[in-house]
Amino acid sequence: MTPGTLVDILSWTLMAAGICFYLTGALGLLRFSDFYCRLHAVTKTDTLGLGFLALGLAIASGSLHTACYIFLIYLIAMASAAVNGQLLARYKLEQEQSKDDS
Amino acid sequence: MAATRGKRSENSQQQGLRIVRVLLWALVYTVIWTLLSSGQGWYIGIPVICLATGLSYILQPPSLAFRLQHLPSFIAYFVSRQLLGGMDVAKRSFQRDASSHAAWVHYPFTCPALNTRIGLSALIGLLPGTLGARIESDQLLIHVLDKRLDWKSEVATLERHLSKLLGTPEGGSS
Repeated sequence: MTPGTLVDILSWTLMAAGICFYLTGALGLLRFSDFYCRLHAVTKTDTLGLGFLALGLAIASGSLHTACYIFLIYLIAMASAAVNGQLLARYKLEQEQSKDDS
Repeated sequence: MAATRGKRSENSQQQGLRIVRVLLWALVYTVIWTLLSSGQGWYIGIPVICLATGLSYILQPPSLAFRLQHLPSFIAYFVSRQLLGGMDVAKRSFQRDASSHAAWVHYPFTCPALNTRIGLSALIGLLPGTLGARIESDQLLIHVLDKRLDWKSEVATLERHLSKLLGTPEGGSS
């Protein structure tokens, strides 16, 4: 087996793992009972899925420049997923509380 | 008179610090744009950088300066917990009573620093079973997927790691 084939296998395995996490996130979105539980599914599995996908793509690219570029995008996506999850939970909570008050 | 002069110089010092911080934010946004766009599309980039810098000036986000020596241990801890968090949700999405033990809980902050508190409230959303919703004075309101799990030590560990990373005072164990 050549090193090129090994790199291909590794990168495709990582990308397949990323897609699996995305799919389980979508499943959680359908199966979880309320808005907040669905937020868990979206933030955690999607970020992890993107991490695997980014790692697979970085390895497949074979270029350090592209790998750094992908890593930067992943960092920004991860930070926004963490912040967005919290902001959506807070917004929904405040909406529910103002409904209860009125 | 001396007190007024002292106050004035303190105010001008604070104003100077604010300007330096805004310039630093502008530099960070410019570097990010340059890297992401390969130095192209400045007709979109400049307004976006100005908007982001203006927002940073208005919102005054807390300092993100960190201690480099604590970064490797933080990354190792955070990546491992993130992996567990994703796998935990993936496993639960196949279970029949996937979210039957979900609950709202309060976590009392042990670290008084604002930047650690804000970082904690955002980052626990990527840890196993926890999602920060709101900071309520000295407590953090968290939604947990399973209240039977030891969510408190999970959050406390992240808070300790963040305190070390950001160089803020660590509180006692909770």
